[in-house]
Amino acid sequence: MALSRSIFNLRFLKPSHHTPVPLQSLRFLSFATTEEAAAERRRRKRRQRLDPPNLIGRQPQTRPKPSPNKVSNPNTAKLPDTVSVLQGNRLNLHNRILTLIRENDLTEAALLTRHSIYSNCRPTIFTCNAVLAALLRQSRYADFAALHRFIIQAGVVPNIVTYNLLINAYLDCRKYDIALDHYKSLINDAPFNPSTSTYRILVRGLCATGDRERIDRAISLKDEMLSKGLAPDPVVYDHVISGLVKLDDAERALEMFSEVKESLGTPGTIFIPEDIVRVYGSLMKAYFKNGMEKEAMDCLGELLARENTQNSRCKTDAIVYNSVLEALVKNEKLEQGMQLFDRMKNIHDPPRRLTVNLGSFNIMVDMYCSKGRFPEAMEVFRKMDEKKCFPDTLSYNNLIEQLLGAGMMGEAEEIYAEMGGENKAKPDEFTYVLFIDSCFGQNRIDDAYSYFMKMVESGLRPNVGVYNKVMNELLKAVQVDRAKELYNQMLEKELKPDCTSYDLIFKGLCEHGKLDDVLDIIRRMLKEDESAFSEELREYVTEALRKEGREEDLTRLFEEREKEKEKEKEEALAKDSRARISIPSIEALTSKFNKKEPDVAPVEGSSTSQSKPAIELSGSIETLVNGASSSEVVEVESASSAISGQEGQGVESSS
Amino acid sequence: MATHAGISIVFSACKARSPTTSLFLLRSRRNLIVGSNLTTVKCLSTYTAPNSQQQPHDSRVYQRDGVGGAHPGGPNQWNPQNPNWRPPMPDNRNWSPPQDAGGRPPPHNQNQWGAPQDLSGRPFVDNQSQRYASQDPSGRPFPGNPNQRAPFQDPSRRPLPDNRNQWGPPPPPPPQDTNRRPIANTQNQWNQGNPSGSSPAPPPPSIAATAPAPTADLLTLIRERKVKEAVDVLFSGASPDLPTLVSLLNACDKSDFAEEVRRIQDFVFRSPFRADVQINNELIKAYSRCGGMQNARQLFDRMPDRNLETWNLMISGYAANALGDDGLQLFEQMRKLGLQLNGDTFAAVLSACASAEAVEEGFIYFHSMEKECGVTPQLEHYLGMIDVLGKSGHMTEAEEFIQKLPFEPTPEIWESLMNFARIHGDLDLEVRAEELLVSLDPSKTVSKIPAPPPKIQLWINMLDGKNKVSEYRAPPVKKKEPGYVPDTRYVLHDIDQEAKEQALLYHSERLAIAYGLISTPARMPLRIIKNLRICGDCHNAIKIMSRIVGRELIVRDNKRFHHFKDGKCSCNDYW
Repeated sequence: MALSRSIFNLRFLKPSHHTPVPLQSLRFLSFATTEEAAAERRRRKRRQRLDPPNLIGRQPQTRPKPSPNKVSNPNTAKLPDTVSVLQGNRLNLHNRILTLIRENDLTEAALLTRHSIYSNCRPTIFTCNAVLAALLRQSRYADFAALHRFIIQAGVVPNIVTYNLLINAYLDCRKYDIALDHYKSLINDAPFNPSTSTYRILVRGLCATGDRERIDRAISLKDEMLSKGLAPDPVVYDHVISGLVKLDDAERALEMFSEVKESLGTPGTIFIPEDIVRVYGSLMKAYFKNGMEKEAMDCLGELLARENTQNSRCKTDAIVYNSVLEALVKNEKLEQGMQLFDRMKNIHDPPRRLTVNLGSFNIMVDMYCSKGRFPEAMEVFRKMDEKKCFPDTLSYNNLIEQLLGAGMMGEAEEIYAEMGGENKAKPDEFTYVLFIDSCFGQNRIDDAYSYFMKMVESGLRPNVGVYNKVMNELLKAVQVDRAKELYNQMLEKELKPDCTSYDLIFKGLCEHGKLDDVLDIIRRMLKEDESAFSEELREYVTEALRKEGREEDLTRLFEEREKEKEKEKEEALAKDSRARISIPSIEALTSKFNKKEPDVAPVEGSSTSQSKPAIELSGSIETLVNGASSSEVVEVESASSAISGQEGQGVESSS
Repeated sequence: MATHAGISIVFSACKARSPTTSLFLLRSRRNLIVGSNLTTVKCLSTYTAPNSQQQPHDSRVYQRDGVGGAHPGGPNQWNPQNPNWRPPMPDNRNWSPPQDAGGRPPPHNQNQWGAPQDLSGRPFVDNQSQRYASQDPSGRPFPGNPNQRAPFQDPSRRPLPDNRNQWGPPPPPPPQDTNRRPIANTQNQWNQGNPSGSSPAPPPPSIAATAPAPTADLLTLIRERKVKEAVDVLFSGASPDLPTLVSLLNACDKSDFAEEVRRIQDFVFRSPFRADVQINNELIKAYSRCGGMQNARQLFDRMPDRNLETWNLMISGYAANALGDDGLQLFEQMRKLGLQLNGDTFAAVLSACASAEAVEEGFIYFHSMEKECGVTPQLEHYLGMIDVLGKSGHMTEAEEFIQKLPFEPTPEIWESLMNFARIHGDLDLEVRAEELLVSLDPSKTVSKIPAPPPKIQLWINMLDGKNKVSEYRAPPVKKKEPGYVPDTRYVLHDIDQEAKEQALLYHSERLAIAYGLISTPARMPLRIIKNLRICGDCHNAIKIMSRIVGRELIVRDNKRFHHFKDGKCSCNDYW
């Protein structure tokens, strides 16, 4: 008793209140223990922060007031919500949105999140994260980015999960620099530290590129992770090693291996020495690359032996097995590979133990295809369901590509027919392009065209390159009308034709004597994008017209355009002056606004995304709402009474 | 303010037209803060009440007769029965007469009572424990006899005339005399801590029924969860025993009761229990439930004696109130003091780590638990670690942690992982945790919509570099977003451009909409009524707003109704 009191007198001498001791005074410059270092790291991050608006909805905790001399910078990072804010109405909203996500109505989920920002029940960051994660899971990156921008603008403070999702999304889109920028802002501005997952995501994304510079960056990230006090993560090392293997740098890969082997199992971390098996897949690849076959096979033996000892705390899972399987089959160890695959299937015991997943099947299918054993490939592919694995579009595309490459159109179409069912992966642009290509290759123009139309009708958005390719083939097959149709469709879809498209369509039309159509297109070009009408094109068209003796048509077209331009200028001037004297028509504004109505095909194939367009929060509206809610009532008066003048007398009567 | 000209926005919160529509009525601009009731002024009697009751003597009164004792009128009523008894004075001697009447004034007992409280806490506490030991066999505290005094303590609350009459006549009639006898007996019993003296004698049912005393009153109030009333009873002179106080404190489980807990603390400080560790712990617990950690800390710092539980309670209190950092600081002090830590301490520390989102420290403490303090981690500690990881959003790490558990994960573990996955929106992990949970405990099955399949499973696909769809997919069309540009022609003052734009922001309909938005659920239409013409800039702004907020905004000005919906107005811009 006496002891405790004396301590408190030292620290909490202030008579009435408990004021937390300034952090620095408690700590010395060097840390005696690891936990002190950890605490300091965390607090350094949190020191520059604002508290979340309502701590668990309770009475405001009388936290120590920020001392007056502390500069209160409104731009300091705010602390994200804690889990405890998720209660009451906000929890209901969260659950509602989770249901929408399960119904796969992501457009509505995202829209409801946006609308809830402007209500008495703002969504928590957790709700936003759930929607973002679902969008990422359905690879709707554009919607993801839009929603993320929106919630950040609306002042919802991101947490570590948000950052991880964001970095993941950009890496999936192969926007590595943006992803790294966001990582940088996480390090510099966020009031929390990156997690192990952040580094896993980053290192994985960067190492998948196979680009030397990026992999070097990944290695420096790994070192950064260690310097931040995070435990050496075997998964991160696994990615680094496989990245180095891609660069044929087996030496460094093996260095990495010895590094991770030494550092695993430090107390105070999740990882234990047994976790070393996580890197065995990439390690085996490195050994194979280095010609050290024996060592590689020793790894396999050790892995299997470990499996047999039951008391191992680290259960080998599908990810480890897949990596090892890949190392085997890619290095001509088919026999061992197949054995391992069978073993994986045998010990697979969902939900307790997952040892096969989609990846395992993909490896096997890929292997069979590359050996030309297509029937076996299809058999393995179709047996996936038995293990409750379902192929995604990428797996379908892979198999279809291989089948088509081997000229097995019938089988490919069979596989294609299996797509798109209930709860199955839907074909994407690449699937159709594969079929279109091979149909043209076999001179089945009509089939190719119908595949193309199917793709467009299902809401997919092929890019200009695909259009050009199809137009080219159609023109070759003398189907000028269809080609022109496609050209018009491209304009409808707001795709901007490139030089190749113009080249193709002019040549096609001129060759078939459809000069009027050519002139139409030129008229439209001049109006919308004059620069696209290059000298070469002009020469070519003039030549074609000369043959028909209609050169003057083109000159007339240009003259018309000049006149129109002048007219427009005059109109603009007139409008401007009119606007100054009278109240300008709001119609102009509205028509502009209405034009922005969505007649745009959605990014995604699903029909749901058709319904409502994404709306961006305009910054000015935000200030409007903010300004209005906090403004003084008196100011309203002064501002609005000016307009109303005498009208104001009717205040009471109107109520 | 009769000269007051201005627009009146009529803006009311009555649901006049449709149940899903809220209508805001705003009489004058001064009332823009419609609806936010002034917070009810808290009763300030809290502090005066105990003082007035404390009266001349010290808290011994409470112990003595188990009642607030010093009530006007009370002493008088005693007079007829016990002629020896004199009105209480701040003098110790006053208490001897009743003891004499009881016939057994044991000397040691007197010493106990005579000892001023402030001299030492120790003997005092002992005394108490004696008391409670004697009480326990009787099952219920204050088994009835003190109840009989209820009418004197609080005549205003329970005016029971017949009861009064009982006591009224100067010469005690035989039946009342028999009633009175046990009182004296039991009283002495308690004082001496000697239950064998006479039988505890449950009170005659007739009297107990007619005269429920404050303590019984308290218990019923507590049972009905009327904490405020119970505290009032406390200050009107009840003298509850420790278990009653504890149950009263347990009833304070909402933040609304922070003030009540403070009052109870006042009461406790004036009562003999003030140095009792148990009641102080209960107070800390109650404070942390009510979110009054600062009060709890104050109490903690002043506690003469703390036990391990006190520390644990403080740390877990901080954790529960999102002040995990303070909890961790406290824990550091605890370690420096060299206290023997137990499993509960670590459970509390882990919850503090969870609330401070201190993952790294969580692991360090978790590992030091067994090594340094010899506490073997139990299920609660593993769950605590999952909490630390889950609350910080480290879901992969949490899953990894579960994989490495030295035992087969229990349903609780999977359930907690599932809940965190739900919170953080990790659909795949949630599904997996749910499957595992159901496989262990089929009773947890809930019919949920099956999760939609992910479109592309990049993480497990193993088809590196085969994702070529981006080469064939057109980028999404960038829609021009609706944006607001202030149209200052409607500001007729002669002020600079910026001031004009500023002025537009405060047009009353916008303020009304802004208020409507932040006070109603999403997608609920708003009705704004204004007796002046809406200005053209507001018309445009509201059009854009209606689109962004996804609501129908119905604005009536003095010309017509404007139904703004999805960026359009029903007036077709016939402004």
